[in-house]
Amino acid sequence: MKGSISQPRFTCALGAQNTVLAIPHAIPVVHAGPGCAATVNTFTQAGYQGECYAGGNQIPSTNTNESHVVFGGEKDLRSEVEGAFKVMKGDLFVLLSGCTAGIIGDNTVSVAEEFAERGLPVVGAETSGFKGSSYVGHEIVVKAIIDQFVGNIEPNIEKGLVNVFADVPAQNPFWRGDLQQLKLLLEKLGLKVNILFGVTSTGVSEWKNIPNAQFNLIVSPWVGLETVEYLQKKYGTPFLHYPILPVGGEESSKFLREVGKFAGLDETFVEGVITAEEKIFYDYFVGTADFFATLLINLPYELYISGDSLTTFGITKFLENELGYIPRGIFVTDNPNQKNEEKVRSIFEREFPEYKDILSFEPDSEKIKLATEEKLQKTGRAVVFGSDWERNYTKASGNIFLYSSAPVNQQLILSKSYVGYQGGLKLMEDIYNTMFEGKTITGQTFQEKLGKQ
Amino acid sequence: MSESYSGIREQRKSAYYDLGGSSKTLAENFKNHCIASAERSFAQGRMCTAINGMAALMSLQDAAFIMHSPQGCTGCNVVAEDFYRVGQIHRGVKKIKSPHLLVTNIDGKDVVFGGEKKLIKAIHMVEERYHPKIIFIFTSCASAMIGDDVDSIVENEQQSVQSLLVPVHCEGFRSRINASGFDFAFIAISKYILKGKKQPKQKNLINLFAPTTVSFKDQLEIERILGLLGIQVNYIPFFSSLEGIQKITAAAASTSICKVFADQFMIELEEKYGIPYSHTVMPVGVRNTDIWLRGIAKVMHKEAEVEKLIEEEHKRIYPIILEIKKKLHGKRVFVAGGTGRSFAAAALVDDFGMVLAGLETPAYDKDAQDDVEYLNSIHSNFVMNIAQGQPFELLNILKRVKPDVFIGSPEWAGRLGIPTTHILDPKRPTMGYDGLLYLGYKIVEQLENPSYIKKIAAHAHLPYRESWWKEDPFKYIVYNEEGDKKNV
Repeated sequence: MKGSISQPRFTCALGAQNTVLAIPHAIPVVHAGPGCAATVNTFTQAGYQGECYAGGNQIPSTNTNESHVVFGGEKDLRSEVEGAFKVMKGDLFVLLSGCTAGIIGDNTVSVAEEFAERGLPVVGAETSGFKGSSYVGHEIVVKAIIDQFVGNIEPNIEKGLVNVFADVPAQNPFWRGDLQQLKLLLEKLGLKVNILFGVTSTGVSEWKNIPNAQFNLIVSPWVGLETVEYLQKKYGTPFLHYPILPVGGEESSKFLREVGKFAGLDETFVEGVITAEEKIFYDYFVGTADFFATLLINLPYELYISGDSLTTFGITKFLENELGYIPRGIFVTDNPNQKNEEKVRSIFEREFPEYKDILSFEPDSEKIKLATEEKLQKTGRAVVFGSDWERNYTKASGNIFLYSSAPVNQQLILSKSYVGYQGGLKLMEDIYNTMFEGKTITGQTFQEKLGKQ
Repeated sequence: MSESYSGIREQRKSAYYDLGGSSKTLAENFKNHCIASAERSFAQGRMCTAINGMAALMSLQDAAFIMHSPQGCTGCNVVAEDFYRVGQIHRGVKKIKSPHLLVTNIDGKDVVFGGEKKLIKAIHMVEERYHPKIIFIFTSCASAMIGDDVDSIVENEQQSVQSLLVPVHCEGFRSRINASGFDFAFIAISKYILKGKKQPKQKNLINLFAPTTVSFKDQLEIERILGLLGIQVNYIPFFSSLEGIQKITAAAASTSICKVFADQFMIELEEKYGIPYSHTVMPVGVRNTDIWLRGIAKVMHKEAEVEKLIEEEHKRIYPIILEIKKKLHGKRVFVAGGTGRSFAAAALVDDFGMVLAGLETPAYDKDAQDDVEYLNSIHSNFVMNIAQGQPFELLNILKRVKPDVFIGSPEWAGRLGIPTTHILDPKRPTMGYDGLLYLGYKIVEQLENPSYIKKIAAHAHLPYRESWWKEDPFKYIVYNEEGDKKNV
């Protein structure tokens, strides 16, 4: 992990409690200091997403005290798990260690094993905060569940079944909607989708079914790559790495085409699906021509965006490629380690060869402000995607602001998603409707803005 | 707060944090010194002292903050940011700022080799970036367990840094009572800023200690009332400054809005600086606001003025309360909240003619005993749960008690379909005579059309076994042996 951060976009490895909560009827048991579960929960409430089935203050916790620090806390963890089984109703319990447990040397994995040997659905994972970011914690937990809960079984391949690894739950404020839309897209191809997390997942039965998939699909520049590589080794499942979130017409079609090909689907069938979807999408799209012609002088055309590499690249692709925006600042905040940073950069350069110089990796939003605020004050025709950290100064500069990343305290986010054909249209509505709200571009014309300099 | 006070609330005498039973039994047992200390053998997540320590100080002007911890420990700063932003908007600030908080990001390497170098670097970075007058450095579980010596670093770096460096020791494992975090912050203020130096007193100046959770409307209401008495207010530490803190020792008296906020600190101010204090109740509802004001009158020598004010306010407020009372009379209410607010809310239940059916609060101590004795005198026996969080116990109790109205944290009771009103609202008014009206109307609104909450209950899946609802809600509170009884 890089050095100090003042305005963070993610939390620590214990953020993985949300990975557990995102599996319907799974319950985390946090072996950490009093307040660790609550503090992580606070950060991951971007867009008031709610606490899932057993989240928020309901998460069982050992609430480490001084005696644990001195004498060890495994005994209390056992008592906690016993109690959790008697009080709480869950299909899977995942024991997560925090910093205290990690430093004392309490072993959540071996405690989990004791319960698993009794036939109980218990998994342990070492997710001490000092191990890294939410993204790191997410992959640790996914791997622990695969190893300890799904286990070493002989795959019984079901043709057309796909596991999707696409998002870090709660970390991306749109994760619920994004996963729902990805599933809908894939179902258009007739695939059976193990989405694994969120409102459209059936829960642990999907996880048990992971080894039987025809293939794994990872939609992300880097998060989840280790998981699908591991699954290939463990169960021999091939994977397709699709690094860009499909937003809008062109990218959604490309996504369907590549997935169709990888799945070995009939090309004519896949092209038929794409044609039907594009017909609807571009009917709406073309319908905006009058709007554009009328308001062109006021429409935004510059793009500043910060957030997870997944969402950032997806939105940028649609705006640059289909709506004619000029990327001015692209800030990836998910702090991949050095190896992954190279990977993410090469994906960006391949997708946006003309703009390769404007990509920065910056987990500290205060530095993003330093890099962009002055430029925003000099324009009135930018759209800025970001988090609460960017919202105030963007709005003060008279430009359009939309959320793309946590933290989000000023919007309720339910099923919202920019994924797919429908997502692209939703994104257009969001950008251009914001123009009519308050003192944004329509209240202050291009010329007035230039006159102010 | 004597030199020996550690800030750890578990070490206070006659204070209990894991307890349950009927109000009459608890009061009786407390009186007879026969409550055993206990722990929960199964518990849900509590809160961290660092949250309170940071919340107490985060809005100070000219201040910057370093959290010497892994990334996650600052998770609560997204809420602090939100409170701070809204607080500035309410106060008419044009250019909205974010709190200046840096986290050192302790990682796996630091756990092995120590994180002191990172902290030193962060101190200089913060001074260079923000030029604050004061830098608070919060410790964490990780920084303490790896043995980083923050006090020595502060002593050394203070030589080369202009900003005043103040370490706050708020590692979570030190106390399971998050209010201890308030004490850790005041211990640091006392040791590093006030330092025992006395100054001339200002006759009409009072220290008004208030946590972040007090809205600006509430601040204005309290200042309005005290202004009517000719009292000047040093409002501390929310939206205050280094100067405001330094002015603490010039006050003629101290009081607090919240019962668990600065209570020990006010004792220290009396012992060391001769500043008397009033520690009564939280000014929510008519009765509590009266008591709170009379407490202040005593230390500010304004008894006659206060009685006149109370009489006038009663004349103004009672006719309006009557309107609310007509709609709420006889409703059975369950109250859950922080120490100050839960008892305050329980008292206002009487203003509206409601019946108290149950109470959840984090601590049972001498202050609580006074309140419970009063509540026992006006209500019949009600159930009490001494808990921080622990919705599994609360939901079990609510399923038995079946109140008409719930005042407290919304998400738990809401899932049972009980109309719910939040009393901990840092952005909207709840205090003084007028705050009461807002609360009353909020409850009335909830009852008028409860269809939303009914719909929630119809579709919510609670993560608890059916068998749990038949168990004793206090089953997991394990009392220590007879011989281990705390010395009450």
